Amino acid sequence: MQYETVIGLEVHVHLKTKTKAFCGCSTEYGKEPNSQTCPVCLGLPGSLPVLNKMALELTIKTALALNCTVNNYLKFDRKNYYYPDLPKNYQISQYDMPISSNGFIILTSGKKIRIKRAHLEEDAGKLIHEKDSSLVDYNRSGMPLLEIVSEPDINSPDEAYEYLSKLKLVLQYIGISDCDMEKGSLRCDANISLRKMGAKELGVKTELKNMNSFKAVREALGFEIKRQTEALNNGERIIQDTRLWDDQKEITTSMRSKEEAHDYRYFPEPDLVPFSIENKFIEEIKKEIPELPQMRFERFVKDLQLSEYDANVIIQDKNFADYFEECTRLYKNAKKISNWLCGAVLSELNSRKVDIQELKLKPKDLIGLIEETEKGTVSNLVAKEVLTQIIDTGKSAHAIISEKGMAQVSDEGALEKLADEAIKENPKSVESYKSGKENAIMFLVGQVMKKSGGKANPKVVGEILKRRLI
Amino acid sequence: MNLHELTAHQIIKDKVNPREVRKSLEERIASVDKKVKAVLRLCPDEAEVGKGVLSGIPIATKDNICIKDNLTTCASHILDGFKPPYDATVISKLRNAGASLFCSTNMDEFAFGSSTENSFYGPTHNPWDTTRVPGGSSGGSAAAVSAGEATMALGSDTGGSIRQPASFCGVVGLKPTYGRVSRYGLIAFGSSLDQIGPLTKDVEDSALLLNVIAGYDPNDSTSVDVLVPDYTKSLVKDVKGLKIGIPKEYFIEGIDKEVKDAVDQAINLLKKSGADYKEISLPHTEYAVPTYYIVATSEASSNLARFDGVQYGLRSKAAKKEVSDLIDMYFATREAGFGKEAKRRIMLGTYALSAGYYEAYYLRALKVRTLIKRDFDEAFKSVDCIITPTSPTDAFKIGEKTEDPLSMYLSDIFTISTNLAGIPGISIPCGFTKNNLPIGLQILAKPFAEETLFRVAYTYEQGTEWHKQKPKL
Amino acid sequence: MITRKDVEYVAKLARIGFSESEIEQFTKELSAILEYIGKLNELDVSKVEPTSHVLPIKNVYREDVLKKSLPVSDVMKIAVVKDKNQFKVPKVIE
Repeated sequence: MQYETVIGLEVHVHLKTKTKAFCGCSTEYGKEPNSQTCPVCLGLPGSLPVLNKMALELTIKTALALNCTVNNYLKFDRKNYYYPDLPKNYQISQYDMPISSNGFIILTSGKKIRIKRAHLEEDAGKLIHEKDSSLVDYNRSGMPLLEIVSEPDINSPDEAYEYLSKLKLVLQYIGISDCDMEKGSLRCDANISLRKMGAKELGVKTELKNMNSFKAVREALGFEIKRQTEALNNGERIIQDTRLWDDQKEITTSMRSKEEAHDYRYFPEPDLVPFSIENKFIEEIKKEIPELPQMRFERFVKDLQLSEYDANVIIQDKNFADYFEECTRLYKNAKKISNWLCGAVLSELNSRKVDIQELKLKPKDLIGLIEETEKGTVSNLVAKEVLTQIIDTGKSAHAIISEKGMAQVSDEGALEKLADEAIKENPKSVESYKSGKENAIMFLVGQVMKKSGGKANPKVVGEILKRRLI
Repeated sequence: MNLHELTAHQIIKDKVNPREVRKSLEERIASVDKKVKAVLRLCPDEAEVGKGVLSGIPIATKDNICIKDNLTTCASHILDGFKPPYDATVISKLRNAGASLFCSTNMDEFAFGSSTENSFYGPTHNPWDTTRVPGGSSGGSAAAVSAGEATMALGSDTGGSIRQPASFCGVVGLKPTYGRVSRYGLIAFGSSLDQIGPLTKDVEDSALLLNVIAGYDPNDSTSVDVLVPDYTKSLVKDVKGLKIGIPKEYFIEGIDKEVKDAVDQAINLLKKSGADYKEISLPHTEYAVPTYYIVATSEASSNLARFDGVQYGLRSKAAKKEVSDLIDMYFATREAGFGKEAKRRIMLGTYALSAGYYEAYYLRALKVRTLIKRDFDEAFKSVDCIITPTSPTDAFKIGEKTEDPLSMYLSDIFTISTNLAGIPGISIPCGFTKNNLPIGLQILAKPFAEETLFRVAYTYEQGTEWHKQKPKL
Repeated sequence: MITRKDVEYVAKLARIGFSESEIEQFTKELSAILEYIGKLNELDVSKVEPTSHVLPIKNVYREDVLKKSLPVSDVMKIAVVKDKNQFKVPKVIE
């Protein structure tokens, strides 16, 4: 039996505000347990929430970047459920009047994944499980959390992966979150169901949790497709439940929750007044949105004549793309810059495991180096060595080349001497060349290069050899 | 005169040593509180007398207002041992005004009740007749002021919890406009209805205390940034040309004849003083109680969800394992920690919000609330204030209504609409029944028109002696 | 009409333990209260907007400015059971 996979994703992302959503406590990570708490985020009796304006602004900014409609009227609601990390036993969230709705993300294939809604809510605290007990730290409680819910438009784990990558990229471009899944500033849950090919009705879905990377999301979805397909083929029914992904065993397991069906008893949060968002306010936020990755990609291909492949590599990291743009302001051949960045520079970054911002190689240094190769001062091979040294020392290309005597030798007198030596030592190659195998000269050029310690200008060497062997 | 009988404005005017007053109050508590049981605990005495408009004035606070490092329990078992790490905004304001935090007063558990019988610590008794209730839920504050155990007090009013006990105990009780006084640090019952307000021996003290506690608070999104006038400036004996509305729906069956007569006489006095009088209609009055019991209990069910034994207060262990140790802890803690009325209201509110019932109950109640509010908006187009009895009866007997929740709920019938509409209301003494029990007159005004309340109340008070009567204990 | 089963369900939602006889009693009491509340059905509210906030206030924010958190020692003072500056509870089973 052929089945179609239907996936919807729910992404939670921490907004990069200084303070929590409803109180003035810091949002910094990794601090001593319960050191960033106050009566409000501890949910103490008598405390009251007051909305952080920045959290609202960042939510609107994100909504706009995800092509959502920002609603002019919004309110907060209480979502009631019991859990020890939720100090009031209700979460301030948004139910029927979210900040925004009806957005989308377009995949490379051109397929549109619709975004149902994006709303603001507060995060819960953190539980640490010990042998017989659990410990609660409320530092995370009350952090502003943006929930982005997709429509069930995703039909494969790969599409899910691409949706998440594209979403994360947008979030990074607009700078609303650091999107670090390890720190928990970005989390993703998935709903997945299968249905017979061509069927209209959705199948029974399971909810997947505990995936700590996009890769894990893809794997968990892959596992779940296999599991559900087998079950359906065996005539079994899928049970609607919540399943946890086990990264070690690479399987999902049911939480087998004994809890009653969710009855969250949403009602308007009486402690917060409603908000009316004027179009002028939305327009002002819109102005702050930088060029988004998709637009940048298109501009790189169209205006700077980059290959789609290179353009895609460059836009994957906003800092990297900003760096690239800075270089193009100093030097006009974008293609050449892109070759350097996507080649030598990227491999340096990967091997050093650093971000481009942390490099001592500033755009002017890279352009300096490119210009040295252009002038013929160094060969491409030597230039890569110079690049490494710039990164190590922070000195300019020019300084390194002259200090270390790495300049290419183009002096004909010196090269003629080496060429003569090579001709003398390799009669066979000379013979083949003379008999018409033009390629044989390349071997001789190589020999001269070797003798010069790589510094000889290969173009000049070639000309000398040809002259000598006429 | 005994120092414990003095009002705050007398203490200030006569420059009485507030330390002496505090001592006198402590002695009074020692001698009468075993009969009244209004005071739960004394606050630690501070070494220095604070400076400010209420310098050294001893103030009693209802046990649902957070005082830093001071037990604050809402008279509930579930908040055993809870000492908030922060001050409510009204407490900070009192401290800044130099007031002396004097004692915490008894109340219906979480303010759920109209008689102060629903306290984990046992009922408070009416100082005028200790076999009767003082009203509730701020019964401890009202009784303490009435019995001379506190100079002035703070209460909270969600459906009449300041005004009804003020009426039963023969003191002045004011519920300010919703948003006039910060709720930050008031342990919530019905968040959209709750207001803190003064319980005092006379109208002047009420204005003095409101002057201190009113005002916008950036920690309370629902407090309103409207200028706070000097309310003592409204203490004038002048109601000439003022239009009083008398709602016909408030003078029907169920109301005590003695109460009705007392209110009629009060209206006559005001008429004689130059006020105009007009019959008005508040057609949705009969729907106020059912609306209130949905709105207030729904909000309460959520507000009280946090009392679960995880962080603070009571934590109970289940007798036998049912689900898991944690979930069993929730059930056991809340079973042991909440009294019967608290459970009843949490259950009612949870039901009203639960799947499938939200529209039939909660949403419908919010819509009726709109109609009730409109009634008042309409009425205030033609009158400056509305006068009604505070309660249909005088204080009832302890135990009389405990087995019949519905009849208890109906004792708030005249006070509840005020909270639903968010408007201010005051109860002042306007006579005594044959049983020698106080009767309260309720005056209502439009939002942020507390000045009108003070003007009418002061004019009436100056023409009568009711507020000077003291219970014999 | 509220049934015994409804009351048991609501008790579960509200996390309150009840004895058999209490469930019985609450069913009776809540039925009476709800019957009284049924009075609200007399009104046609189909064209009425709900009032969840009685005053027409809107857009109350705070700026994103740090405020002092409570000292951890103050936070821990309220804890019923604590360990390593955290609130300790019976093990949460996921």
